[in-house]
Amino acid sequence: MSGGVDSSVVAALLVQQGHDVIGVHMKLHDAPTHPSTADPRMAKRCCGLDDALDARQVADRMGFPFYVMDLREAFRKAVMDDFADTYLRGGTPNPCIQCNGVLKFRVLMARAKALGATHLATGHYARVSPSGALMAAKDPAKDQSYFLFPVTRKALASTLFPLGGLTKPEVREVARGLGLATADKPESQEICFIPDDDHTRFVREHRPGAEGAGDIVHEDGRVLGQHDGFWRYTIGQRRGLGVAVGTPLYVLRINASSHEVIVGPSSSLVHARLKAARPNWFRLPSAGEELTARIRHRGDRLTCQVLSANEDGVEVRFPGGARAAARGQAVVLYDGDEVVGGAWIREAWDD
Amino acid sequence: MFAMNIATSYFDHNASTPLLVPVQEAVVDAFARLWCNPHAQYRSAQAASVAVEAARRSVAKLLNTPPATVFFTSGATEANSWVLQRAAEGQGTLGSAVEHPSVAEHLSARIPVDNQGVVDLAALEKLLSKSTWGLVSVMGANNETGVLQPIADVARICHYHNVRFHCDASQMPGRVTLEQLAEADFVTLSGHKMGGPRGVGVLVARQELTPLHRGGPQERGLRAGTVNVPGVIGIGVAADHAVPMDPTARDSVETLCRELGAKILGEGVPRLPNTVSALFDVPGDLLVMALDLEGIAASTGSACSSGSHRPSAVVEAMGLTGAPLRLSLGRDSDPVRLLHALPQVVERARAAL
Repeated sequence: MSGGVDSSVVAALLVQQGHDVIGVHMKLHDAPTHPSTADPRMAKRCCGLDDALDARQVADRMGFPFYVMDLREAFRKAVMDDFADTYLRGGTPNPCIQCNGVLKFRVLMARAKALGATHLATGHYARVSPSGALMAAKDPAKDQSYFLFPVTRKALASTLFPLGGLTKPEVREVARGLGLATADKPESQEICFIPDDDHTRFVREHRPGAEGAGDIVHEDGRVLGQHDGFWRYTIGQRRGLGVAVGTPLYVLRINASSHEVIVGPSSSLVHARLKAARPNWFRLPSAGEELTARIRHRGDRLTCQVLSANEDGVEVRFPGGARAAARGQAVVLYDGDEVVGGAWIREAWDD
Repeated sequence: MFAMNIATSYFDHNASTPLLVPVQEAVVDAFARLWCNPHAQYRSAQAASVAVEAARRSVAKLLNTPPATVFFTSGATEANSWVLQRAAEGQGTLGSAVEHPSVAEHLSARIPVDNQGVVDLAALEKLLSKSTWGLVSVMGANNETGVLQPIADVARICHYHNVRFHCDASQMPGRVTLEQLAEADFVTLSGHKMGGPRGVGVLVARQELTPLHRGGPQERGLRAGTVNVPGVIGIGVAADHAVPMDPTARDSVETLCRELGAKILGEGVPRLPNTVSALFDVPGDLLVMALDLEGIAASTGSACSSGSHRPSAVVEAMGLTGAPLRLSLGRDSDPVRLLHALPQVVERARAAL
């Protein structure tokens, strides 16, 4: 229960359905104690003291036990450290996937079982398929299955996603119908532990002494300018490069050891092949199998062909090309709406 | 309306205690009858004033101190804040490494404790010899572990070095006798730790100090603010009823914790007769939640700060890590349900983690 409308509706639905519910709010980071009402961005930040109180109020109204679990230490290691270190390795981190995979579906799941719970229910927009695999939500605009790819079959067997079959407007409608105070609360956006969205500042503060200044280099070899830290950039980024050559330039590659940020035209962002490691499979696809894939949370699913897949990784080919695949992000493969599996992107290249 | 059977369900007396029945009666009566400002001149106000002074004498009697040394505050936190900030005569304040946050907040330096949580008297001696201090503060009994500090020895060492000594005795009344406090220059009491009302505390000041709360002549000009008459009357009645507690019930709980493989903090030294601090191989906060689901209230140590379980300074000062389960009993506690629930709760948590 984050204190937001989604998890509040989940709690209400579960109670309605006759479950014995225990509400848990995860305290994951040190939020400001007095969020400034003058800063509208603060209202969208999840999991400060007000969020816990909002969640507690819902639990109290619905009449079930509610606890705050202090998981700051685990969150710092699994999410915040990984976030900074991925940037420092030249990648683009995905903290939400880490949070789901480690904090929610491992740490929290174990704690839930320790309290005698049989299931963990969350407000994720996703479903569990009849075969026990992860599945996309009914509402494609809200589908969060991309962020959930590391959740194992075993964990899913003890998981409920009550919102997976609803659209967001339907969820807010349920919330209003239940008289939930959180019905019109703004949604959390972006990175929950970085109040000002400044990931560059975060990396510098979280890993003081990190050195990353270097050159911005065109893929043809020309040095176009300098930058103050390569972790400021992400693959596919166009804005904020500080250099211009007359045609639009995009970040193509980031070299963490040389600190070079390599830029080039849009066409150079597209690659046909992709390799990913540390997979979580719901079923092992066969070589040659045609599936669809996401290489980022937003955007369409791309048609792809599995070249090889095993317990160590996967190689896929995109007939239409995949644009701006970034190390640190995930590739998630779908067979229709069912998730076949996902893995962490390592490399992208051309045929 | 959730009604809790305090005797069988509530094991967090170190966080707060239910009001003793005579306290409840006195407080309700005071709210109804003695609401006038006790500092006014007319008869109904004088009745309130007389009741306040009777309460002062009750507290004075409990501590064997002249009533003129007893000052009423809004709680132990205010009393600690007052003495730590106003009794050190401009010099630094030295306190143990295991003080309550309301004392720790104001300390310039800390006296280490041993691995049982007892202040190192030799270290205190050394610290007092090396520099000049305005005040030393060592609590009488630790709220997290129940460990009793050698207050009489600390006072003696302080006075040998001409330094004033404050003792936060919040956890002592109603559990142990208080004669050890005889040589303390300043003593703090907490209403809601001794069966009294919340929002009222005591500072006993046997030496001079300047006010913290200014802006009124109350409490002989040393603590401004209209006296909280019902609260003060309540703590007076609580003081009248403060007698030591028998350790038998606590011992049965402690034995069970040991049998379940827990390390008992401070087990080798004198402790409060009502407290067990048990470090299991399962996080204390999980055990607290699991026990709550069985209808049993306990905690992991200091109740201060909502939702925030910072690693305990007390546990760290004893050279340990982890979050112990704290079970703190009251005079009427009957641990039968706790003894039944705890093994199941611990085993289930062990299996899941």
